[in-house]
Amino acid sequence: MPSLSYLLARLLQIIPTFLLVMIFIFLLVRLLPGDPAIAMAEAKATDAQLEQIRHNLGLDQPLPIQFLVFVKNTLTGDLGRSIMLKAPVTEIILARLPTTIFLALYSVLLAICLAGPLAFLAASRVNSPVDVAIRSVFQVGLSMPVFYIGLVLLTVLGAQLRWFPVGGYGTGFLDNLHHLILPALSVALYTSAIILRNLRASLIEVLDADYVQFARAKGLSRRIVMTRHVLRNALVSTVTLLGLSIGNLMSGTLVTETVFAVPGVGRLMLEAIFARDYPLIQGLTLTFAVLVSVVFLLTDIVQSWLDPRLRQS
Amino acid sequence: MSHAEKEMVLDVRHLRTEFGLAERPLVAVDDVSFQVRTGEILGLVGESGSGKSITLRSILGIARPRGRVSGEILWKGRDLVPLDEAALRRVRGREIAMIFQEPMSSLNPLLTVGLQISENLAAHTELDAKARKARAIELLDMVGIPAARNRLGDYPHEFSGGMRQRVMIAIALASNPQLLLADEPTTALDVTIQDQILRLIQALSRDLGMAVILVTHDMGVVAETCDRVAVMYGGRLCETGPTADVIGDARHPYSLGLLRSIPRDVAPRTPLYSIPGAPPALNALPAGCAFTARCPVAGPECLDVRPSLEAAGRQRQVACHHREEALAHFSAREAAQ
Repeated sequence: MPSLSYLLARLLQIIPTFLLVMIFIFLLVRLLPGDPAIAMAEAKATDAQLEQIRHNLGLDQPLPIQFLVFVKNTLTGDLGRSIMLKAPVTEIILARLPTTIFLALYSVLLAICLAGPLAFLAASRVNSPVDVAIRSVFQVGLSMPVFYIGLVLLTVLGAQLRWFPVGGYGTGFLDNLHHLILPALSVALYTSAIILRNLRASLIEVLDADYVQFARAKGLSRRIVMTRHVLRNALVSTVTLLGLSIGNLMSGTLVTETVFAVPGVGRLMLEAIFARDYPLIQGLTLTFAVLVSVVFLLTDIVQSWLDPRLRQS
Repeated sequence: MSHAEKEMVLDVRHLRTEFGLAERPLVAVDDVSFQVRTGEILGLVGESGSGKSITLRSILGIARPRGRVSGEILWKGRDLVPLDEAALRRVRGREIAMIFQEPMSSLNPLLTVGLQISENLAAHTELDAKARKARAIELLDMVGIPAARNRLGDYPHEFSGGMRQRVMIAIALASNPQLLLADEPTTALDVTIQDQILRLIQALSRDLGMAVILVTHDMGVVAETCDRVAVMYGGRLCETGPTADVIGDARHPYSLGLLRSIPRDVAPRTPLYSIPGAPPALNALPAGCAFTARCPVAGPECLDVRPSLEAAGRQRQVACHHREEALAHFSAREAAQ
């Protein structure tokens, strides 16, 4: 297992990341064209009324002051009030977040279940018809955008065959699994194509490695050779890629959740952008940054657990 | 005990290993026969691609599934060739162990050395975890790893090259094999470490009565370590015999050339003999002798008629149509220098 000092060192690395993210979010929102006061106010609002709104939002303060206030509020969990939904941003996000996390985990698990066994099958029969067929099918998955795969699944499996609901969110765990299968599958098809390619390549490389030959020469059972020696080594690079694709998948929820009408933070982000709901956009961007950082942190921990050479921090 | 009295443990007969398509096979090992006796160290010599490593891998059955093995590999009287994976696994690591050329890449980088030894014990013995640990320490100690007890939890990258080769030998010895297949175990090590490892293998063979097949391309290693030697070329054996005889009185033009390319009692900066040309590709082997294209005494029949390995004096075999001419050719060369 990775040592405590490694974990602590890795955790400390998050601090500068978050500081940068906060500066970036703060500036980005303020540099965007458009005035939130105008967006919030009634169409026939007077200049005095607009000024009042700006004052209430703190937008009339100098930028450094605004930033310090932003940092202080963020650290205390106060992300302001949503202009559009007229409720605290933290509450809104926390209410929607579980759906997105559920969808993300669901997609990743589906992707692993799809890619894992097929990568094994392909790698153990390199360039056989089975290998070529698996690679070709997933190449298609890789070359189509997620929203397009989503629309195809939606039309065929949802609207025409009526096997699965076309959108929305269920109540309870099993109902959620049922409701979210199409969005999860459309994300999973893309992600699994990436994982499959990488895992297949590293399996082929590892199967040929001297230490695997040595493990065979030791008379170990096939199961032990395949799991302890082959799979574990092959996973080191695949885990990195999986982490990156989960990060990628987070921003992908914007599209997926919109296409499938899933009430998660991705769709909320899109709505917030259209409404120029600055506090909500800031809060959501920060949420995404936290999620991605957590995923990368977990990736690093899993990797250092797999590979002792990475533990020397 | 003299050579003939020791029990024969391995008797390889007409071993053939091929790869690739069945219609156009690449024959890596062709009609190779040799024997190994208890406690004996047999050197298998040849240049890269001569089929030495594949011969070892064929014996253990790890040339499969990509390689197709035929002939007979009689291990203590039982033929290993027809055995399936499950039956072979009971021989691998337990009765016949193997060590590899690259100690850097032959140990799993992600597992502790302790686990890599004890998984061997778990596969082949009834020992419980505690006894396995004790045995692992004993093994590391036996191969000369200092403070063995404290190193079980270390990973391969925490050992030097020579130490890793020792660890590999410890793993191979875990369940007291009667035959050790050593595939160029010292090639990747520097000279002083080379010598230590060879001495270690020699001592273990002597003390444990373990037979060893030592694959190498280095005649010096053979001279220092092996009781008998078999010279391979193009997947075939060209000469076998006791080490001193083969080195002192080689008969096959290839072994003659190989030995002439080693510096012996020559003045500094004297150019050494080098065998002209390069080894043949596996898909371009002639029907006759594989060495024909590079042989200084080859005649027209050499290309078409395969010379068989025939007795040439006591315990010696040579496969050459022109052994007299070969000897004369190289003696004349030497006299001219």
